[in-house]
Amino acid sequence: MSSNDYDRNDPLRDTLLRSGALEPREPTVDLVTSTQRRLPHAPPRVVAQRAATRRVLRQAVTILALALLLVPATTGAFNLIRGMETPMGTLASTAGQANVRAALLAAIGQRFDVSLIRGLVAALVWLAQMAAIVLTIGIWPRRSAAAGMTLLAAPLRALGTGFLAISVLGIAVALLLMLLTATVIGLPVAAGVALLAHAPIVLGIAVSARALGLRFSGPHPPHEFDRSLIAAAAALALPAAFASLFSLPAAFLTIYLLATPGIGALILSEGGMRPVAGLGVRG
Amino acid sequence: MVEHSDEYALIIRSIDGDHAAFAQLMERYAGAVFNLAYRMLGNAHEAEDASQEIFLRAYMNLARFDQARKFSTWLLSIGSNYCIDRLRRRRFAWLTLDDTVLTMPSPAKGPERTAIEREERDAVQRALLRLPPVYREVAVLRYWHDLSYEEICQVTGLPESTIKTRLHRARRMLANALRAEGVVQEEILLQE
Repeated sequence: MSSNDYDRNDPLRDTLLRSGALEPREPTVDLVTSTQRRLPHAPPRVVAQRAATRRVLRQAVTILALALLLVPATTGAFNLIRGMETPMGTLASTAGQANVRAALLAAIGQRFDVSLIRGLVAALVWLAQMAAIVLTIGIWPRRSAAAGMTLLAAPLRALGTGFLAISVLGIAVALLLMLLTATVIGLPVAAGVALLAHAPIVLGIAVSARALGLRFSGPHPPHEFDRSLIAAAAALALPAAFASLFSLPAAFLTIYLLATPGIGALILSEGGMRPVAGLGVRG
Repeated sequence: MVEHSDEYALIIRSIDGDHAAFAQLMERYAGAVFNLAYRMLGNAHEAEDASQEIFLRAYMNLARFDQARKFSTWLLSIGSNYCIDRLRRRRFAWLTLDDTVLTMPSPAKGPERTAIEREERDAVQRALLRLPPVYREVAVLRYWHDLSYEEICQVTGLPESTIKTRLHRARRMLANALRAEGVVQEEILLQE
């Protein structure tokens, strides 16, 4: 490893040489033996073959997922352009959404007290949020914490970015759902898309809870769950649960609003990989 | 030439899963890999751990090694990428005060570091750690590994013009840092 193009009269090199800093340093352990113990049994040739197979499988799954999305969406677009009746339209015209809702409420009301049902729904909404927050933070403790620190360090930027992101996501998902629900085969895909579109919301609300927990616990962030984090998650899940007492769309809207700054912080911190410098974060 | 054909044979045997052959390759380059990691990360224990990871990554990717390239340059490119990744990950590693004292370059010289030469070496290392990772990388490859521009391009995968610009800035930063650490009293006159 020798160069042929460096300047022998480089004063910086001379300074480094004089200081003895260019002399190689010896490791304190036997690197060869310790690494040899950790070498995998599978030879690199096999490792490479497995990696290639995984790559092909990943590509196939991606193509399949895209096809699953694009084929019904394109068919739906054609149906809409031609003015054909869509499955949702058929449902609305035959039964009528309002009639279905009224029939359902009447059926439930015959058996249970409406206020009890609402209370149960509110409890379910609160529990679902708690479960989502706890699971997300449990799976990504450091990344959620880093995004939470970003939210504390730049709350307005996070809110703005989150608002923009959620608006774009909302418009894109709405358009996609409109196309997908215009065909029968698109209906299950639409259900999947609607579910998947809530993944960033779950992540966002978990980050918001993490930030609130860090605010409660002070400048030294916890690695794991502590009382502050649980309290923050419980408090953050309350508004949507309360809103669900009156209307489910209001509950969803509350969840989206609470997740907005968390989504923004996730984007700003590149998924918690590069947090905006704040309390306790070096770099 | 003999050494290269011997190295080629070791690589082929390693690709087939011969651990002893790979151990010979590691013996040849353990020093270079450890020193790269030490200069990049600034901590001997972390550098030892990083060196093992670098060799493991090299082993896992050995079948993809392009034999038209020099093995040393390929290995150093894995090493420098790994060290930069590790420095990035450090950004969100929570540190207690004790960790900070252990891993951050200390501005004060400890009582055990009395030998002037040792102090000067440590000061150079502290000066080096003041450089942002991408500049530290080219400075280490140039001054500690004595690589040519072409070899640095192969290691980093960057064009020569970028390497020259980075190295120019790295030199300037390092010269200033050396002054700040008291290794030199006067400004080092760098050639343009």
